[in-house]
Amino acid sequence: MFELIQKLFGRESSSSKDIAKERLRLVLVHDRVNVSPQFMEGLKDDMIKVISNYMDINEKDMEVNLTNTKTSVALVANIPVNRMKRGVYIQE
Amino acid sequence: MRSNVVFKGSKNGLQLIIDDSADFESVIEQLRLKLESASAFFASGNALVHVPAAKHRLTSEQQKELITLFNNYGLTWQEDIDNASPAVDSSPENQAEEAEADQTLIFNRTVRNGQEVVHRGTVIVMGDVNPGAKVIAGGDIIIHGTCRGIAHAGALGNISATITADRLIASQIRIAHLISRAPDNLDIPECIETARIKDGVVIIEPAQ
Amino acid sequence: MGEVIVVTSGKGGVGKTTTTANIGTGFALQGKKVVLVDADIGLRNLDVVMGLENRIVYDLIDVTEGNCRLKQALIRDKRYETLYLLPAAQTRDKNAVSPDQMKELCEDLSKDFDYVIIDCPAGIEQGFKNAIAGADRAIVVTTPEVSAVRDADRIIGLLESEGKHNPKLIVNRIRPKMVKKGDMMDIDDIIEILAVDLLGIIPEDEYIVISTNRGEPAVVNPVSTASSAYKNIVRRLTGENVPLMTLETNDGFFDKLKKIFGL
Repeated sequence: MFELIQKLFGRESSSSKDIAKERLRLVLVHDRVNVSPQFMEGLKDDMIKVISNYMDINEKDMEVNLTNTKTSVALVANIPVNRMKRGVYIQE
Repeated sequence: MRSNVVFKGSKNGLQLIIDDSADFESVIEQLRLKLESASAFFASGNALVHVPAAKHRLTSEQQKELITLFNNYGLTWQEDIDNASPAVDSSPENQAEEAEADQTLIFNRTVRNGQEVVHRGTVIVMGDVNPGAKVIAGGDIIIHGTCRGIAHAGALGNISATITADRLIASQIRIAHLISRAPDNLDIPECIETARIKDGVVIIEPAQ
Repeated sequence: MGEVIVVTSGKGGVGKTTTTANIGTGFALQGKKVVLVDADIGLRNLDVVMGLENRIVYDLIDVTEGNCRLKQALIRDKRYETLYLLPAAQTRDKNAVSPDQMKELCEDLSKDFDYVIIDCPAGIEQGFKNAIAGADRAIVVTTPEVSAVRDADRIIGLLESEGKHNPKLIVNRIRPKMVKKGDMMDIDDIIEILAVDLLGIIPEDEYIVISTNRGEPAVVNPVSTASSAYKNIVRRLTGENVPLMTLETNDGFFDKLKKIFGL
């Protein structure tokens, strides 16, 4: 009976809390993605350290970006490799 | 709180400043109300009142009415000593007088949360003292309103200083070096109360 | 030249952002040209309450730092033709902008809008000083609770010392049943302490939660009691003399209906 009244007076069938949850999920994705420059620098430095154990890379031309669409976030890195380091090949 | 009748402290004692544009009837009424509510203060001794330029601004009938009213409250009318200076706020002599440390400071509005009024002499607040506000005086404190904040009278060590308010509600009361609180009455006090030190403790009693 | 109004409170969570959103939308529904400015740098919320969070490209700091033109940062709310939003920055903090920059921004905005409404952050520090710098007048929001009223008193004192005289008061989240029982301060108690003019009172209304969930300001809903209160406030701000709603224990429309149907 109450659902009928709800429909009569225009309450939508998807509850407002579900709308809120979905909006919140998206907005937090965006908020977390809008990170500070220091954050990106720190990330970059750590990546350089780790990758340099395996290969020599061109730090100057290295690009690291967080890209965000409406529904997802991706960390995209373009790292020119000068050469692989010796002795790191994993022997099968 | 626009008032046509204001008391100001000066080197010569108290001055009564009357708004010229107000009609005399309402002036007398307001004056009567003020004297009623501040009778404790006036009883403590500053009993000479001077109305600047009275001879020029009031008829002799009106002057007589004022003198009678004053006498009823223990005040004495003081003849015009200095005819040349009507007490306008901007007059430099007044400002110099009021800068004198031990005179009465009149704070003309409510003291709000976060604000402090500090003065060496007596302080009169024409308004409330809100929670979070402080009034600190070397002399007495008189609040023409409700005190819900902190009032510290006799701050320089004068143990005979008093705090008077229309309503003393759950505020912190300090006189000289003693600290106390108005009781957490569930009833709001019906009358004007004065806090003073008696036998080494702070007591609160109805104002005389 | 439009009017710049800042909505402030001191205490957080009393309803500044909700009030800004609803008053702004209320003006737009009357056809006035309005821009809402979120001055809560670092903790932006006005965009979410308005349902415009996924339209943000540039923000207030981008404008004051010259990274973009003012027009590029303004978001037009497609639902109400004359309503715009200038969002706050999320990754900076209150020190990223100065009171003088805010004054300049408000002057620019008031050239093109009838009303510029600024959502002030909670507190009394740099954020507050920035938000009030360009304002012509102030609205103080409080709830009927001791802590909120004390903070409102502090804010009123600070506003007056910054030259923003005669702030107007909104008392939010009043519960008439509790007031009747003596368990909640009533309007007279609050006005007696704060000694400012009352602009309006807003009853506690569950619909506010729903409207924030949806990102649709309550003022567009015909049934919500808070909506009527906000509409009245808007009318008073444009100079109309609107009597205060008598808040009897006001069963909402749905509660009454439920009773009729025996639910």
